[in-house]
Amino acid sequence: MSLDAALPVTPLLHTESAVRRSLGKNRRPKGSRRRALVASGLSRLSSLPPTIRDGLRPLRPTADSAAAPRVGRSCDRRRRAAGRERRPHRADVGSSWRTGPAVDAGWPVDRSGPARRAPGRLPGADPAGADGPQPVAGRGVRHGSAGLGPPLAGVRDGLADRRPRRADRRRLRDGRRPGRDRGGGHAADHVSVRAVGDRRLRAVPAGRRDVTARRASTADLRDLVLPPPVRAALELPSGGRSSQISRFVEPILRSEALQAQSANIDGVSGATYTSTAYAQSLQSALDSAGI
Amino acid sequence: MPGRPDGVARQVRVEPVMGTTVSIDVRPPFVGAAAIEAAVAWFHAVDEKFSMYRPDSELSRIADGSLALEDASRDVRTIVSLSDSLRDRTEGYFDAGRHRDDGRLDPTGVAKGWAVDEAVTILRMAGARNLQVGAGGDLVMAGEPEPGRRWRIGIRHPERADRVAAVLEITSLAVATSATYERGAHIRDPWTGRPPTGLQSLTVVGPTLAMADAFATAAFAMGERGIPWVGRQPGFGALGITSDDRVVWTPLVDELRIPDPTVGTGTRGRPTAGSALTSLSGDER
Repeated sequence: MSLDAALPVTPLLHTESAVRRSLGKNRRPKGSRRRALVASGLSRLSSLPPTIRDGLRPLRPTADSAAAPRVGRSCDRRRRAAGRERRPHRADVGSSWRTGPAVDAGWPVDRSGPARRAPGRLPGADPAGADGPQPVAGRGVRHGSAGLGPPLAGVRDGLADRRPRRADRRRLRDGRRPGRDRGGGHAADHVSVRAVGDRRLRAVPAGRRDVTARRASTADLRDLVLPPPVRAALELPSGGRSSQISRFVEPILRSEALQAQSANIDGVSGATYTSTAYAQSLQSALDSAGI
Repeated sequence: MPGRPDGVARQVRVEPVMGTTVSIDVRPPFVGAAAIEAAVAWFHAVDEKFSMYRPDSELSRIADGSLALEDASRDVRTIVSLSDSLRDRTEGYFDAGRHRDDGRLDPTGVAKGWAVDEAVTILRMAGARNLQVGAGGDLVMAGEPEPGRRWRIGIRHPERADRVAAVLEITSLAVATSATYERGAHIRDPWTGRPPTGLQSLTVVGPTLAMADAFATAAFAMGERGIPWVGRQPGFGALGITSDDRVVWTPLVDELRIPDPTVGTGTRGRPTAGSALTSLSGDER
């Protein structure tokens, strides 16, 4: 059996890096590169596979590019003029997403688990809102206390098509949840950046606010930056897997009743045992019954 | 302790190898003894190449620098590259180079699962269709144990070795469990260097044991969020027992799990009337 066959095919790695790169700062092509792309019909650089995209970017000054001073970014042209080598870009030196543990920006991320969520943390992707206690203190309340009244409703509705703020784009890129800007900012901003993953403001303390404004979410970013086939591959079932998982919980581990004998089993999976421990294991009892 | 009901024809071979015990359990149609011996010999061959406890194994020689990776056998290079790709797939949580205290390369976790996958292939090529091969608590099942019945696999209770905490009904899948109850805190979170918290045991089901084993190791190191993480891997599912004694599982496992294992045998949805109460009251505890 070939090991390639053993690895299930998944589009996630490529698309994750595509999302992260496209969420990065200053990733929009500018100047002559943008004009060339528009002329060629490929105006969305970020939707291109990395191989093609890297081919479009002058990686380092060459004799040709020096002879054509209007090619490349302005910073690259300045470097060429000064005779300096171009600093390798994050996207050039390899896959930066390998270096950190958080690469699943853009998907409903449940880092805490449904029942261990501290009250002060963001409520996370739980659109049903039925499982576990809702947060009653901390940041969520701070948001709620902004008290969006009718005068702000228009502002709020206008936010539906906005990109997340720069700080949140940065957070998304780093795989963190969007959050509140500690330095203040006006209240309407908060509406646009609540917990990523669910599209409506549901996980808000009851009675504090009845806002259900559509927020800009990572789903919107995904729609912007990914070509349709890739986007389709990323679609999660409604609500996302993470929120579904919270339905499959048994609150108490039953230590009675489940004796292997009455469970009538053919095999046992457990932590790796040594050959010595095997003699006392359930598996050895099952094996010896057949010898 | 009685196991399966008597009268079930089985071809069973138990062999201590790779630091643990391998169990081969073939149900009809049976295979020749030579096929069983070939599978056992395969496990010993893998042990010779991959054992970290044999100074002359290829892996030990790579670790101490006397053998270049390029000169290693095809199997060793395959496993090392599989370990590398698994590190990327698991956000770095499965890291063959960082799980050990001495920092030596240790892809033996993947190698063991891969060896079982290959042994199943050997036996199937010899004509077996219904079989179960296990190595140290990790299992690969194929076919069915009896006509019309699925394999019933118990997940060991983290505190009681003679109990199971859940039962899954499986046709052809691999099941791997990571936990600390057998060998202590041997798994480290490669990002913090500390033993992971949050889970007592994590079981992963999936198409191959090499991947399931690696995902179980990685997700156990992630803690409780490892359960939904496995749920997002296409074709894989997880069942975890948290430190506060909750049992949590993913949608795929929900399709395999028996809500009340004391009811019926392999007939999910058609419980035998009255048997649950009998079994419950019959327990000594």
